[in-house]
Order: sequence, then structure tokens, then C-alpha cells
Amino acid sequence: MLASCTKKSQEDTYADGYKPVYISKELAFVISSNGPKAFTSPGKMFLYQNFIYITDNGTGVHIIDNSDPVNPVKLAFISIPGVRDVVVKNNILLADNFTDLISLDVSDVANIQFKKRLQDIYPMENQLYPDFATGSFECADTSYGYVLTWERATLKNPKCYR
Amino acid sequence: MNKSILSILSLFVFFSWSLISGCDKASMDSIGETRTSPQGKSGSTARIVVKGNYLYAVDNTSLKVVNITNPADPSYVRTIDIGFGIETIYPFGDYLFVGSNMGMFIYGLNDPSNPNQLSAFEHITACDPVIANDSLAFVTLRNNEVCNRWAETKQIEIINIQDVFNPTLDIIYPTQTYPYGLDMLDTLLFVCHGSAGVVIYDINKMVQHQMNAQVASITGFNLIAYDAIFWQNKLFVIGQNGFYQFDYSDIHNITLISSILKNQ
Repeated sequence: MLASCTKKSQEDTYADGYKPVYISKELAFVISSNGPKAFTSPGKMFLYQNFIYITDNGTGVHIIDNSDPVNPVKLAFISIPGVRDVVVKNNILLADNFTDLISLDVSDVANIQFKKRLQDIYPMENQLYPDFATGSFECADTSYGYVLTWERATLKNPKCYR
Repeated sequence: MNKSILSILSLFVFFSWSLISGCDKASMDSIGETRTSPQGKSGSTARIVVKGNYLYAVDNTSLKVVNITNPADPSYVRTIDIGFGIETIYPFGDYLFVGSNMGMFIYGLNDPSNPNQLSAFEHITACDPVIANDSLAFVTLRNNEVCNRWAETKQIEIINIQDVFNPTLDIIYPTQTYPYGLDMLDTLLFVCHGSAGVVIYDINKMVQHQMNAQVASITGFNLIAYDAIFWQNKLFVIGQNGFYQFDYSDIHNITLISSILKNQ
């Protein structure tokens, strides 16, 4: 599915598609707890007791206190690069961080504790193309780091197609 | 394997929890609550779910099993190859339902550390979240730019899973707009339809081949709906512009309790 075939041509070709937005290998696995922030690209939702956990695609997880459903309150934003989904069990949050699965103790939102990293749970190949789309995309170059998100772009001579 | 005993067991587990927490509308949520640990619940578009002492995660080609008996100290158990285009995972009873571009797979959890494939139900290439109850699985199918843009499809499939080894197609219900994530409440199916909001279908009418099974819908509020979850007697909806929670006590007059949108 990652077939790339191009013919050498004098003329450039252009196509609408997706290009990778990179995060460096150093920053890709840095997890941090921050104050609340606005949604950028709301993704998955996990409901836990009176809390709502909402992923922001590729960037992190919002924690919302829903004790008063009329006035839900954003408590924190946990920065988890590459995150796609989140679950919580016994006040332990588990989420994907690119190739890894991480666990965090969220019982005290003001003092979230990193617990464990399970490395290489997810294959690296999943990083190399926009799995939510078909069509042309700019080939990911892992020497730049990990792909944080894919953004729409006009591609010059795209070599990757899905 | 005896499904009815298993479902009775899971109901028993649920009701014992609901007594502890003093939930007074237990029967309303009993279908959904058995889906995950009583403490929490994921949606139909989930790629990671919790079931008992195990976490199950899908990537594009496989199912990962992680032991979370102590969730702070998760341990990898195994990888089970499934195929290509795996999208969603949904636990119900002692089964895992895996949605893929090509179809729906049912895995048994007799050994929860080692799910075994019981059956594969193929459908046309499309995006497909799936949910299920004791006898039926519901799959929403959409073909658009994202999944197989070459053939347009907008439909809900109802699959008979009374024999989990041999699922059979009951109904194909065409929808007006693309369907996304979904949840169910007794005999009502709540299906997210993007900018068309959340549409509520009467499952009995769908099963009887009635072509207009729509009983209500939720629109407005800049709602572009992608997944819906029943939880604590409220309907939670996530969408492109944020998250919403609704009071559904009058199904024909569903009201917004609150929302948090992108600019908030």
C-alpha cells in the first residue's frame, strides 16, 4: 500500500494531498502536564467516573471535571506527542505515544505522575503514512523525527500514494 | 461456549457495581455498561479498550494484548495479526468486535490473555465502527475521501451474531448522510452523522425492514458529530468542534446540558 512509483519527467506535477508535520526524536517522547488549553483537533473521548478524557489528535489529552454537568471544567492538558486514544483504569491513564504505550497516575490532577513506558508496542510503519486518508502524500522521512500530524498541502511531484 | 450464561454473568457483575454506586437508572444503561470496566467507557471509534485485567489495542494490522492487572505497571503479552485496515475495537460480553476496512472480526475471550478469532464477516471496503449486544452487531459504513473514495456508500448494517461463529447479514439500512460512531440505548440506535448531527433510529423498525426508522435527531450547536457515548444517564458526543452532553429523558426533545467548543 506504500507503493511509490514515479516517472522521471521534465515537468513538475502537483497534487492535493497530505504532508507530514514532524516532531524531533528527542521531543517525541517527552510527556508533560500543563494547564488547560483550548481544543485544536478533538479526537477520542473516554468517560471515567465524573471525568472526561478527550484526546487532541497527535498532541495530548484534555482532562475535564464533569462533577457539575452544567459546568464542566477543564482541569489540565497532558502533552503526549502522537496520541490517538486514551483509557483510564484505577486512576491510571494509559495512552499511545507514537510507538509506545505509557501509563500515568492521574489521581491527583495537580500532580500527575509518570509511571511506565512500554516500548515498541506499535509498529513504526504506522507512522509512515496518513492512515485516515487515501491518495497522494509526501513520503515521511524518519531522519526528521516522528510524524506528529498530517496537514493538507499541495504536493510537488508526490512520490507516495495510498 | 454458552453466550446466555456469559451475558447473565456480565449483567450480574454490572448490577453488583450499580448497587455500590447507587445508580438508580441501572436498566437504562445496562447495555452499554457491560462494555468496559464499570468505572469507565470508550466509544465505538476506540482503538484502545479496557476489559477486566487486559488492555486491547489495535493498530492498522494487529491486535495487541497488554496485562493491566496493575495498570500503573502494564506488561506486554502478545500481538495477534489480523489483516489490513484495522480501525476500531469494541468489547461486549466475552467478545471483542474488531472493525476493519474489509469487515468485522469477532474474537473470543475464553482466555482473555489470548483472544482467538471466532469469525470474520466481510463487507465492502469502507470505514466501519461497530457495536453489539447479545444478538446483533451494528456497523456503520461510509465510503468517502477517507476510505475507498471510489465507491460511495452510506449505510448501517445489522448483523445477526447469535451464532458468533457464523454471523449473518440481517439488514442493510441506507442512510441520508455518512454515518460515523454510534451507541445504543435499549431499542434505539444513536448514530453520528457528521454535520447532520446525531440521528436516532428505532432498531425494531430497522429489523422489520421499514425504510424510515428515524425517530429523532440532534442538530445545531455547530455540532459535527463523530462519536456518541451513553454515560451516567447522559449522552456524550464528540465532534469536530468540541464535546457536548445532552439530556435524552424525552427522546423527542433532547436538550443540550453543556458543551466545550474549540474556542473555549
